[in-house]
Amino acid sequence: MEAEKMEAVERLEAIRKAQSAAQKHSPNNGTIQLVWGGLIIVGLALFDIFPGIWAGFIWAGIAIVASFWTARYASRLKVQPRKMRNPFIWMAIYYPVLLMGAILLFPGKPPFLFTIVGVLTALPILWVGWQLRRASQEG
Amino acid sequence: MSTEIDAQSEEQESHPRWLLDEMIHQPVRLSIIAALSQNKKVDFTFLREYLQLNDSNLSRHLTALEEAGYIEINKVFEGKRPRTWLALSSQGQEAFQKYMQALHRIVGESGK
Repeated sequence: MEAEKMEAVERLEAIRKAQSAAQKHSPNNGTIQLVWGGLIIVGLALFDIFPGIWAGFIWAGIAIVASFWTARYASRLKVQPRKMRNPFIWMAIYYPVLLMGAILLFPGKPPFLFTIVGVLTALPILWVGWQLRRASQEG
Repeated sequence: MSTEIDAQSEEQESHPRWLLDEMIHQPVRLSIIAALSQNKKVDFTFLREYLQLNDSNLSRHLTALEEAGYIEINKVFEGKRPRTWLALSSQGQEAFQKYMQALHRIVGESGK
């Protein structure tokens, strides 16, 4: 009886490892979230460094290149998941709220305002990316 | 005496071990099904590398699973590159869920 239980535990562990290894080679491995989290911080910091219009152009360029990279990277992976664990959908909700809130609260635009907004926006995405990466490394 | 034996054999047959599908229970096939279970499709080369099998050994297991109706094999060309995608069928998904339930029952958990 005990041997049977041990074998079942081993099988469950083999299942977990196989699922984890598959996740590592899928777009749910956390890479996309980590890259976008980093780019959001860099992109928003540009608005503190360059005048608004130039920062806007550079950020748009970065976002377009990153979008193409994301699509290409995701499609070339060897495992295509049923569900994308993607936090961008809620980023679209809180990002404008944070930005407008910051502009309303600090109309004089204190130094590093956009960088701070970028960090606050990117933190949940980086956290999700890190969690996904950790889960996919457990296999 | 005969009723006692009947009751004993009935008890043995209701043990969750009898719910373990032999097709999935084999270690290589279990890993294949597990890797496919959460995904829409998986590349043949990923399984070959993960399971450290050669093409013909892996193909043998995949054919067995396909004949059982548990997986679907789709060979396509992406650009000039041939690619073999594997996916779990609804029958395979159901069999895997039952298998998982049986394992959890053996371990003594109520999980799915």
